[in-house]
This record gives sequence, C-alpha cells and structure tokens, in this order.
Amino acid sequence: MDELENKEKYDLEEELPNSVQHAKRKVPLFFRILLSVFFVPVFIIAAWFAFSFFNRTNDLNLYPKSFDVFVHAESVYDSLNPLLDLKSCDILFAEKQFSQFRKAFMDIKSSDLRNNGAVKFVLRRKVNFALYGSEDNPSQFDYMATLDLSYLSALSRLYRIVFPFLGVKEMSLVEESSSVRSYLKFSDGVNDIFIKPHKNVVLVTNSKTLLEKAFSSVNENEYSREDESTLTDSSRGDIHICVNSRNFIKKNTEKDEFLRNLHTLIPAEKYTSLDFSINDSEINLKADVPVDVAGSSFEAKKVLEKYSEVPVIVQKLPSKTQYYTVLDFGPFWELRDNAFPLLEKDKKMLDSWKKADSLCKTFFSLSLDDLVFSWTKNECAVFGIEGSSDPVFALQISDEKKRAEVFDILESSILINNNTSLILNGTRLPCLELPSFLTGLLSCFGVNLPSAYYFINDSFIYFSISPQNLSVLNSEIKDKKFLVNNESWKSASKKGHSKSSVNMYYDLERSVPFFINSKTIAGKILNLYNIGNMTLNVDKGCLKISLHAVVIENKNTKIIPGFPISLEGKTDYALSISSDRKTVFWIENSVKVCSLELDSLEKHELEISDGCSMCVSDEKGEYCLWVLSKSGTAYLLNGKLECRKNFPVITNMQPSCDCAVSRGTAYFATNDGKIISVGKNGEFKDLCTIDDVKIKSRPSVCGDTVYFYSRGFEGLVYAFKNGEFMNLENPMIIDGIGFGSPCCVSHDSKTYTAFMTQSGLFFLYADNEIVENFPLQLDDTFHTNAVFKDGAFFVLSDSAVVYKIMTDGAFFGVKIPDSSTAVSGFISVKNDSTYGGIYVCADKNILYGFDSSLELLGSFPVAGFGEPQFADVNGDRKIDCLTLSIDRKLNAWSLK
Amino acid sequence: MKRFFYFLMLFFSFAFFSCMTLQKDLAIDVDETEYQGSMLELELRIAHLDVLAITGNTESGFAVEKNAILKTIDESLASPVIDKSVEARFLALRGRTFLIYGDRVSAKKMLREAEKKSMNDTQVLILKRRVGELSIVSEVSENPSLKSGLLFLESAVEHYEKNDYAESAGMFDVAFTLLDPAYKAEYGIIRDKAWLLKDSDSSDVDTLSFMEKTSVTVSDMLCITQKAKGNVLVSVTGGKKLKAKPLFRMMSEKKLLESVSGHDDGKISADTAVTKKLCARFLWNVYSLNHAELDRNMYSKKYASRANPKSPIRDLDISDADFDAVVGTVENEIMELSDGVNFSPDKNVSGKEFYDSLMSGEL
Repeated sequence: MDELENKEKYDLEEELPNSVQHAKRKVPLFFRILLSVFFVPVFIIAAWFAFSFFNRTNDLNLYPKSFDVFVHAESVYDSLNPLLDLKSCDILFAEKQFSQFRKAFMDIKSSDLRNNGAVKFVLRRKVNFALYGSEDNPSQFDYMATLDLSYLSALSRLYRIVFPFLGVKEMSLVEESSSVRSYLKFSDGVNDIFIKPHKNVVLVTNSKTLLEKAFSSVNENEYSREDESTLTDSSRGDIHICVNSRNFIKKNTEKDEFLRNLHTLIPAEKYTSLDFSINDSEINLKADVPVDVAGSSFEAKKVLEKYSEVPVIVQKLPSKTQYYTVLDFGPFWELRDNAFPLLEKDKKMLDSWKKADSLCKTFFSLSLDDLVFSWTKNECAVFGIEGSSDPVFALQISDEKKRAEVFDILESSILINNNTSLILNGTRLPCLELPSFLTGLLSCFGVNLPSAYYFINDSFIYFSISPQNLSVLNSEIKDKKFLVNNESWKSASKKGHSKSSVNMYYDLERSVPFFINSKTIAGKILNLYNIGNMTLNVDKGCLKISLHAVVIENKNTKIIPGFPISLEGKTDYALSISSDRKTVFWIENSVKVCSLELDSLEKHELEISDGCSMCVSDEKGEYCLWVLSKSGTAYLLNGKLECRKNFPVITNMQPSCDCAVSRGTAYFATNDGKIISVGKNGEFKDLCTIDDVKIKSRPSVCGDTVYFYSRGFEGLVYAFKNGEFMNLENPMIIDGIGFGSPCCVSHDSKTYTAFMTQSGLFFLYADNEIVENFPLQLDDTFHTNAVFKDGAFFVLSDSAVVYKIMTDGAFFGVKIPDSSTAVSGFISVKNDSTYGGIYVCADKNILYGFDSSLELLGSFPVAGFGEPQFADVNGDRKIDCLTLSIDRKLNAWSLK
Repeated sequence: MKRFFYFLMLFFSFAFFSCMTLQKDLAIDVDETEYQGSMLELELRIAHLDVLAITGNTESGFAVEKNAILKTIDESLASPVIDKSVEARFLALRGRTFLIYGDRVSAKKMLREAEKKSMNDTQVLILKRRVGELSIVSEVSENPSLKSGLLFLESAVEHYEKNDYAESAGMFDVAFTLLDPAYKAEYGIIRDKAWLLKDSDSSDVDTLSFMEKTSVTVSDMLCITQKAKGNVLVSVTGGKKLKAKPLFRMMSEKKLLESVSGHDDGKISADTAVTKKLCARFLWNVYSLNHAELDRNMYSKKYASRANPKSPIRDLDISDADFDAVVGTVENEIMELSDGVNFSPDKNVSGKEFYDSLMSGEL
C-alpha cells in the first residue's frame, strides 16, 4: 500500500514543471507556516500604520473659534526643550503663583529623558494650544491642546483596547452617546483633564464644554485658508501665537473708557500674530496687529492710516548714545489735529494749551502753531549721552528759514533770555530761557526744560540743559562716530523693522522702557536682557511691533531665582545635605529641625522642644537625617522630616556631644562616659563605658571607626570599632586644650588622626603613633580644627590665616582676603571633582573657597557663613552653592 | 497701558518732548563722572561724622567739620556746568550734613531739591530714609537698578538702628566688599558691634546694654545671670526674682562668690569689677550647684598629687585659690584661655564675654 502511494506521489512530481519543483524543494512547509505567522502580522501592522498616516484630520478644525490666544509650534521638542534651560524659566517658577509647578519643571529640566532619542522622536510633532477666556471671569481660562501624532497615532487609536491594561487609578474611560462618543478622563479630585485621541490627533482639555464643542459639526471647516496660514505660520520664531485682539481688549478693558474704544480699531475676523524666540543671550518678539481704521470710533485713528518711514535721526545719533526714542507719525501739525480729540478729554491739558497759545500771540505775535509747527517736520527724538544724566531732544526741521525767523522773534523777546550762550570745545551754544508759561506747559508733558542750550546740524535741532551733551554731539558728528556703527546697537537692532513710527533703543543702566516693570514676571524676565530695541511700524492696516533685546554685559548677581530664603530663627550655620543632594537641612533656634526640598522649594519643620543636634547618614537611603535630642531621643528622618518606622528611639541617655554616623549607625557619648549606638532599625545599645572622660565634641568617623576626643588639658583620642575601643590602654594624647573634633582620614594605607590645639600645637598620629616632626608648633591660636584634602591638612587660625600642613611637617599659610580675625570662623572641606575645595569664613559674612594649593576658587567669595553645601538647585546640571548667612537667610549661588 | 496710550497720542500733539514718556531715563551714576574722586572724599568725611553721631562720640572736632563740609559742597554746586545727578548728590550730602547736626528742617528742604534733580540717586535715597520718609531700604535694594554698595551699607545701618544685629552685620560685610576700603575703616566700629551682638535677642534692651559693657561689676554679673539663666540659680533663690542688693547678699551668703578652696584673696563688693578669675569662680560654683556629684577641688588634687606638679595654665599656679574653678570652666567649655596657654586671670571680663560663658550649653 505504501509503495503504491509513493509511486503516485513520484508520478505527480514528475509531471510538475521544473521551476515549481525547485521552489517546492527550497521552502519547506514548516518555514512556509513560520513566514506566514511572521509576515501576516507585520503586514497588518504596516497597513495599520499606513492607514493611520493617511486617515487624518486637520486638528485646527477641532478648535472653537472663540479662543483668546492660539499657540502653534512645529515641534514640541524643538520649541520647548531650549526653554527649560532659560534663566527666565528659573525666575518664572520661583514666583509664588507658579511654585506648585516648580518640582515638575525641575524634574523635567534635569531629566535624562530630554536627550533620549525615542522621546525626541515622539515629541518632534506639531502642537497647537488655545486659551478660552471665561465670560464671567476674565482672569480664568480654559485650555485645549492638540498633538499631531501622524502615523504614530496607530498606537493612540487603540486607546479603548489598551486602556484597561494601563492601570492608571486616576484615569477612567468614558463612553457617551454624544458626538464625542468616548474619551479618557483624568481626575485628581480637584481638576479634571479630558483626553480624546481622534484619528491622527490627541486632544487634551480641561473643559468638557470645549471637548463637546470640538466634536460638534458646527465647528467643522470654520477656518479659511488665510486663517489657517495665520494661525500656524511659524516662519518667524520658534513659537507662533495668535491673539483674538478684539476679544482680548474687549474683555480686559471694560473699566476703562479710553482703552475700550481701542477694540473698535481691530477687525473682528482677524488675528494678532505674535512670534517669539528666546535664549539666554537674546529675546525676540514680533507682533502684527491688524487695524481697521474705517470702521473704528477711536479718536486718533487717522494716525494709523500712515506708512512708516526709515527714521533719519537714527543715522545721525552719536556713538555715545546710550538710549533713544524716535517718533515719526507724520508732520506735527497733522498730529496736533489728530490728537486734539484726545486733548479735549483732558481739561487741564487743554487749558494749558489754550493759555500758552493766547500768551504766545500776546507776547510774540505768533500763535503756538507758528511757533512750533511752521518749521518742524516729522521726526522728534530724545536720547541720552554716556556720562550725562540730562537727555538731548532733537527735532527735524522742515524749513530752516522759517525756524530762524521764529527763533529771532523769540530771542528778541524780553521774555526769552538768550544771553547765556556758551562756547564749549570751540562750539558756540546759544541758550534759550523759556518763560514760565511755556515751561509750565512742558511740565504737563513731564519735561523739565527751564533753560535749554541748542545746536543745529543737518536739518535737526538739538536741545539740552547740559551744554556738554551738545558739545559731545558736535564732536562725534565731526569725527563721524555714529551709533549705527556700534556693535551693541547692531546686535540689538538687527531684527527690528527698519521703517518705524516709534523706534526705541534702551540700555537698562540708563533708561527703563515703559513696558519693563520690574515687579511683574515679564518685567523681571526682560530685565535679564539689558540692551534692546523696540520698533512700531505702521503699515496701512497693520501695526507691526518688534522687540529684540540682548545681553551685552550681564552684571546680574549670581544668586539663583527663588533665593535667598529668609529664615525665622537663628541657626548654628551648620547646613547639611542629603546624599541624593535633593534636600538641605538646618536647625533654627536649637529646637527646630528644618528641611528644604530643592526641586519644589518646599520647606518642612519639626520641633524638638528640648533642643537637638543633627547628622546626615553616610549611607544612601530615603531616611538619611539623624537627629538627637538633648534628652537622648534619636530620630531618623526623611527629606519631609517624617520619622522612619520604629523611630523616635528614647534612649534615656543624656548625650554629652552631637551624634556621628558610621555605616548607617549613630553613635554618641554620655556625660558619664557611656558610648551609645542607635541602629537604623531602631535598636539602641549601651556599648561600653570609659571613666574620667569629657567627650564634648562630635565624634569623628573614618570608615567603620569612630574617634572620640576627650577634652582636657591632657586630651585623649580614642578609636572605637566593632563595639570596642581599639586603643583604650594607649589613646592618642593631645597635650593642650583645643576646640572641635579631630580629623581622621585614611591616606596612603594609613589612618591619620590630626588635632590642632588652641595654642597652635598640631598633633598628627598615623595608625595611633605620633608622626615624625610632630607635634608641630604654629605661631598662632586656633578655635577650629583640621580638615584633610589631597594629602594635606588645613587649619584656620584666629588671625584668619589658612595653613596647609603636609604629613612631613612642612607647612605654609595664606591670609583670607580682607579679614583680620577668625575666632568664630569656620573651615570645611569638600572632596569632589566638581566642587571640591576648602571653604572658610573669617569673622564676617563672606565665604571663601580655596583649592588644595590654597589658590582662591574663581566663583568665590559669596555671601554666607558656616559650611556650604553643593547641589544642582536650578536643574541646569551644574553645581550651585548653598550657604546660610549671618542675616538669617538661606542663599543659593550659581558657580560660574 | 492707559498711560502709554495717552502719551502715545500726546506725542502727536506736542512735538518731541513726549518721547520722554516712553523711556524713563535714569540718572548716571556719579561714580561715572569726573566728580568721582572728590565725591568719595566728601562722602567719607560725612561718613566719619555719621559714625561719630551714631556712636554718640560727638566731642573733638565734630562741630568744626560742619561748616567746612558745607563750604566744600556750596563751592561745588556753584560750578556752572554740573550734571544733575552730581547736583542731586551734593544736595543730598548737604542734607545729610544738616541732619547729622540735628537740623531736620534744612535736611528735608535739601531732600526736596535733590529729588527734583534725581529721585534715585543713592545719597538722595539715604537722606530720604534718614529723615524717615523711606522706611525699608532693603526693599529699595530689591530693585536691581538700585543695588549699590552704599545702599547695602545704609541697609546695614538701618538694621543696626533697629537692633537687628545679625542682619546688620551681614549687610555690612556685603557692603564692604563693594565699597572703597575707607568705608570699612569708618563703619567698621559699628559693624564690629553688630557682629558682637549678632546672636542676641534684639528686643531685650537690658541684655543688649549689658553685652555692650567693656567691664562688668559683680552686681551686673549676678543680675544678668538671674535674668538670662535664672534656672541655674533656682536651688539658691527658690525661683524668686530678687533685686540687685538682696541678690548680691544671697549669693554671698551661699558662698557663690567664694573660691572653692576656701582661700579668699580680698573682699568682694557688689561694685567690684569682675575679673576672669572671679568670673570663673562664680561660674564654677554655679556649675557645681547643678552637678552635685562633682568634686569641686578635683583638679588641684589631681595635679598636686603628681611627682612634679605643674599647672597646665602658664599664668595660674596650682596653689591659686581659683585653680579648680579656672581649669574646670576651661575644660568644660564654659570659659576660654586667652591664647591656649594663658588665662589672663586678672583681666576684666566684658559683658559679651560673661554672657557667652553664661549661655554656653555646658553651664
């Protein structure tokens, strides 16, 4: 039977063409099944991704039109990632109203995910964001954001299937019969966030109403192509913002009659676009405000019917100009006519004008119009000269002959005194002393010009109280030294509009533009950029505003935004830091343990009524702070000052010294010579007792050995290890009384113990034996003890000298700059490659840093007293310095 | 915004002058002018008078200097070409001079004139604070454009006047790093006092005045002990608050002013100036009161029993009546040696030294 079957099979195979037979031999059935199993899912996935790519919607059409602000960025990552490192963001999140977001910001800022390729890939997507103002409360906004995932939406489209496996407690899947149908709802009990993946888009909003509006058919295709290109144009900056100006002004200016009229200038159907880019060296803002002059009831609307021109005066300003404002809104007489409707609203101003006009006619036989407008052209300017506080005013002359006539009349008048001409640097500078009614009128405009020198050059007349200004101006013009050739001006002005009606150049050293108010967050941010140029360009139907500011010379202090933090009580200037460098600890008024979480700037307090000392554990872990009360109760706390399980531990042993921690166990001595240990599990042990000792200072720790210094004229240092004293019979002798604790270190396979007495006798023991050439007598007195770094010991004397003592007995000293005493000074050491150094304070609120060669560290001194700590406070991945200071503050300094 | 738009429109109506409203010009720093040198000299002369006035040391040459300074200022103000910031500073310094000599009316008049020239000049702000029109200079110093060494110095003086010594000392130190060293030479005396008192309670005027004393009497010592650390005397006073005389009487009766060896070296009255040795004696007796198990003569016994008895303190013999008290207080970190080897037993104790010893955690 088998033979027959085999024969039939063989016959069949013979009949097949050769190629088929060959193929059949090459791909066995097993592989065919395997390939099918592999390729079919791949094909399905590829098809799903392709479908996701082509099945898209325009996310713009999800936005209801009533938004106040619309933000567009071509790439979330490229737009937002650079912003995280800005000083401006540090300022923003140090403000009280944004402090709740500081921790999240710091986490993101210092996160490694920022450089993760996958994260970059996912976040390089288009994002839109809109704010919708509440009708009832203009200060409240709802938001809606959409992220275009493109083909990656293949994943987001599966949210209904995937959601049950996510296991996010706060999130729920909501199914409804409304147009939205299904969405995810995230709720933390206070706020709700709605997330709706839809085709290629993921929509996020805090408003259910907005979510419903987004998917209602009314909204669809509401945006024209023009609108779309306006809203999503990102050619001029990293982030493109559109504002529904008419809505915005209307909502925010209801209480002000004057400003309320402004909204009629803005066409309802057009958006103001705002583009900005920012980095630590420059900030650039551009805004285009469409205006509809025809339909407006605004009084001075004619001004906006003009086209701006390139201001001539800017080319003529001397190179010593530190700031200027140039205005060009057409001929002055025209401006007067346009502005009169406004003047009429201010009675005081109008009265002054009329009074001045009438007096001009009486005394000069000239109207105010003739006096001012008959010879003037379009431009006027005010600018400041280096080294002078008095500004210079400039006015463009249209008719020099007429000007000369007017000035002749004025100068021949008994009311105007021109006898005080001055010759300065070879230039004759005539002086006009204006009559009181004219100076009174000027004072209405905030101008104080009782007697002005003037100077005429190249169709401009310049006025100033200071003749020196005009002399400088003259000589700079002669030498052809102009502002436009200055590098500072070029860098600040390169992105402004060349044609402008308002052109403002500022240097914060000398002038503060109206838009910088140092009390507001925006003002504080703009204050970082000290030189800037603002232009306003009137281009019929559109106001174009540009602001470009740069940092030319950053004189900003090194203090980190959010600091200094004022403390409520006195400290002992001992600042400690957790091993993860995220929390600092200190004690106020001896009874209050305080901690500050550096990422959120959240402060915690724990009161220990009988007084306490603290010590940070030498082991890593959440519970890292040991606190020992004066009655002998031990606490093991975390950064929030919460006690670990089994703590506090009441030992009933009154400590004679602060505690020290070795390998996670705390040790302290009692008045009667007992050595007590408290383990991190809460167990405490009375280890042993030594008679006739006075252990007053914190034990020193070197690895697993704890060193106790018994204070006295015959001081002794005991080494304690594994529950017993190693040198009880042969302690290290310190002949003379001293302060602080011995310095115990392992170096070159030896364990060194160093101690400085008050009288300047320096003892050095190696493995419990006195080192040759020691004790060493220094000609100074000491209130602090030794620290060790890079193979040498360092001590701070009462006369503010830092000594470096080598193990062979060689030594030298360096005086702390500008200090004479350091009786209550501090010396501490940090052994780290980035912030390692010897940090000292003399008897003043200034902290100096030295390297191990006793060269001053570049970023020091900074204000502070006591031991500094180092951590990345602002998330810029650079180490900053934290200090407590005499004036009861916690300071944070960025080290440059 | 309203102001801006108003002014924006007002430009149009009246020539160029309104340009000013778009930018508020700041007066240049006087230190950037040619007056820098002479101004510093003048300011230091006034600083010297200021320190004399603050410390109450208004004797030699104080009155004579007024006219000399005013004359210098008036000559400078008469100069035909003078920048308004310089003028403002001269006027403010004129005002400060009047104020130092108690002429508040003239000082205010000068302030008004100076403000017209420059509102934000440092000396104008200082004068404004001194006449009581600017309460917190530290608030002013928060404005980045107003930060200067002189304002930090003025902040320090303001804190000092409010007895906020810690803040004052901190501010002085920051100011000195920014200012000409001559300021440190003038104000150093005030800064040192602030440093000395930095850990004291600013609201406790009696204690502050005690701490400022360069020498204290026995009565002062007993009163401050009862006031600041009454708990250490409870076993003697029973917690009752006694006046100076009864307190002295009681302490004498309880032998707290006698040496533990029992050898007295002279009669002690309430007005006797406290030497370091007497201070050690009293503190050792108080320490012993609260450490009943303590052998008060332990140190003399210990050292005397040696084959070659030698005092660990160079200027105090083992046979001294107060040897135990001195060694005991030094070893227990209640008192200190002067230089690590000498105690200076006959040196008078200052208020601050006694207070620090009294408040040491060991007592």
